[in-house]
Amino acid sequence: MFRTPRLAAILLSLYSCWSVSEPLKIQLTHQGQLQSAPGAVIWLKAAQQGSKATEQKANTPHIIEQKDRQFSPYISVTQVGRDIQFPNRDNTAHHVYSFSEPLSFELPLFKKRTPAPIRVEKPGLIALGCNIHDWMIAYLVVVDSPFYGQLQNQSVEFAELPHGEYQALLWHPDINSAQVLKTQLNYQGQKLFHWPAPKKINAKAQIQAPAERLDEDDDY
Amino acid sequence: MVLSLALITALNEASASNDTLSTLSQRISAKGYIDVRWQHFQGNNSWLDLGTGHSRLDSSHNNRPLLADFAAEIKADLKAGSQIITQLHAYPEQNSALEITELYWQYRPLHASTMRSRWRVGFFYPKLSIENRGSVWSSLYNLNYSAINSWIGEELRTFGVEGRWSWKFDKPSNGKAPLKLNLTASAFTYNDPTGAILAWKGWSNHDLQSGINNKLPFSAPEGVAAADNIQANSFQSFREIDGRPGGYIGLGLSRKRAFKVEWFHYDNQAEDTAFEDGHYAWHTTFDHISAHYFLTRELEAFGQYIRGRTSMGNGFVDNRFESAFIAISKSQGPHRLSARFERAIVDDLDNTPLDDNKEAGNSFNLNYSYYLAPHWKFSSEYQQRRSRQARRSYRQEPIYAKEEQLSFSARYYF
Repeated sequence: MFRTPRLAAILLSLYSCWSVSEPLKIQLTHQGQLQSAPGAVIWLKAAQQGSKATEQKANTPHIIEQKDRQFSPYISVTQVGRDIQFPNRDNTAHHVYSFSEPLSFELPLFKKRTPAPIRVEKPGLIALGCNIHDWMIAYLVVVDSPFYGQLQNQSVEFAELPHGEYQALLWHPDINSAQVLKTQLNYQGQKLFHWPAPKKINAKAQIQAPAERLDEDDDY
Repeated sequence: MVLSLALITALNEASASNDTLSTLSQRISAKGYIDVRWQHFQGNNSWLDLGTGHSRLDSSHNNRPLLADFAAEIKADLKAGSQIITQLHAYPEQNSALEITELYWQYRPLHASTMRSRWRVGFFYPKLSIENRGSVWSSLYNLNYSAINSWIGEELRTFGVEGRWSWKFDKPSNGKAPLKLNLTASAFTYNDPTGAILAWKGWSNHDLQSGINNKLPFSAPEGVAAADNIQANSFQSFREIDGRPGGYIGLGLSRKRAFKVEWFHYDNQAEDTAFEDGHYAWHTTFDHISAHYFLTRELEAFGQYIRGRTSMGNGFVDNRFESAFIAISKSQGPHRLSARFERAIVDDLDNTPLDDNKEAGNSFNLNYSYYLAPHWKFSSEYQQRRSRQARRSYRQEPIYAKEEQLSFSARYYF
């Protein structure tokens, strides 16, 4: 008799830890106003690095294309341990490089070539450039958590998020170029979390590649 | 030597891989154009036909279709940031062979800082021209180049090494490119006769680009023919005569698609008493300033100014030369309208009889082009040049001449 409530309590507490409920929507606000920062990366790190934290590893490579003499996507996010691949869709050569701490590399990308994937082993921010086309810039945020997403239409949703304490982190080139924004999040099944931004956000679009014309020399 | 080494390395690398053919096709790219033209010219016969006129195509080319120019640029990617670049032109109307107008190795090393650098080794144009930012060093705005750029096309090339360093001053923002400070330095050889065409033919407006083995016709006036050393009946610009290297430096500021301003100082350091095989070394030095400003995205104003001196034979020829042009160009969708005004002079400072190189001329060019993307461009152009040139009197011609040319061109770009 006396064992049942204890089991129930254990089951209940387990349920509250592992159960999934409706997705959590995170929005960025400043002085009560929703802020728009398309592509901003938000990731959640569980306070106790738990059993689930490293399970959801995708085995297909994360793709960053060179297309129409620009990177696509401009900002993206992936998890530590995943392969990244840089297919060149253009009919011109690129020279992709990064000097960032998590991954320092250079890739000669002759036209229409897809090179072998590269594995990222460390979390952090990777700034990508092209040594031939200096307007080409892209960012890849490598996170050590399976819970990550990017702001679209002013919000990002996290489904199947276990209840618990999290450190929430945010990065966008026009918000915090060098550091990440951090905040605490105690998730107990709520549907909405408003993240107060320290300032009004003025997120800029990716620089457009100059139009390519056959009658012009690229190297002016 | 460097070029062949680089090429061998590239070929070795390519053949080491399994997919040699696809690798090579991925490493080599070509672009260029074929220019078919119809023109009507009125004025003196072309200097290329030993006349005293300053165009490339003259009245002997009137009113018939002409294959005016075949141009190609071939790039071979050796490895990341390292390429061999060749530019070729053929002018069937001048019975020219396939002219190699540039052949060099270009290397852009990676730098961890915001500084960028570019190295060029071989035979190439110093990047002086604003106008000639078209494919294969053509003018983006006109069929006939300005006097300064026509002269560069005739006899100015770097046969050596050039380094260029750019420092970014601010971050790109709102789609605006960063502000850059650009420094260029070069050492070169094989440019000793440069100055001869400017002195003995003068300024021109045309679209002829000399190849590495150029040999342009020259008929010596009596004064030149009387010299101790007999000048050959041709100009051969890319020769080394005195064994002394020349150099240039450039300094400028730019913001891509906003503005560019650059100053160059050039000195070929030629020993101007040297003579070899029918060709003199000409000591040629100049300062060149170029400016390009985008008033709006579609409206550009630009210009170039040059002032320099060329001498040979210990005072046998001593000339001061100067030229400037300003141009304005408006584009709207596929349409582009460009106008250019210029002045070009040569002052003869020596007293050699029967070789007066004095000249002064004004030119005007109006061009309308329609770009049928991506492959076709149709242009119509009116070019006028009025000049006074002392040496015309040696041919019993009036010193003053007016040259007018109406051209229509259809270019296929690939």
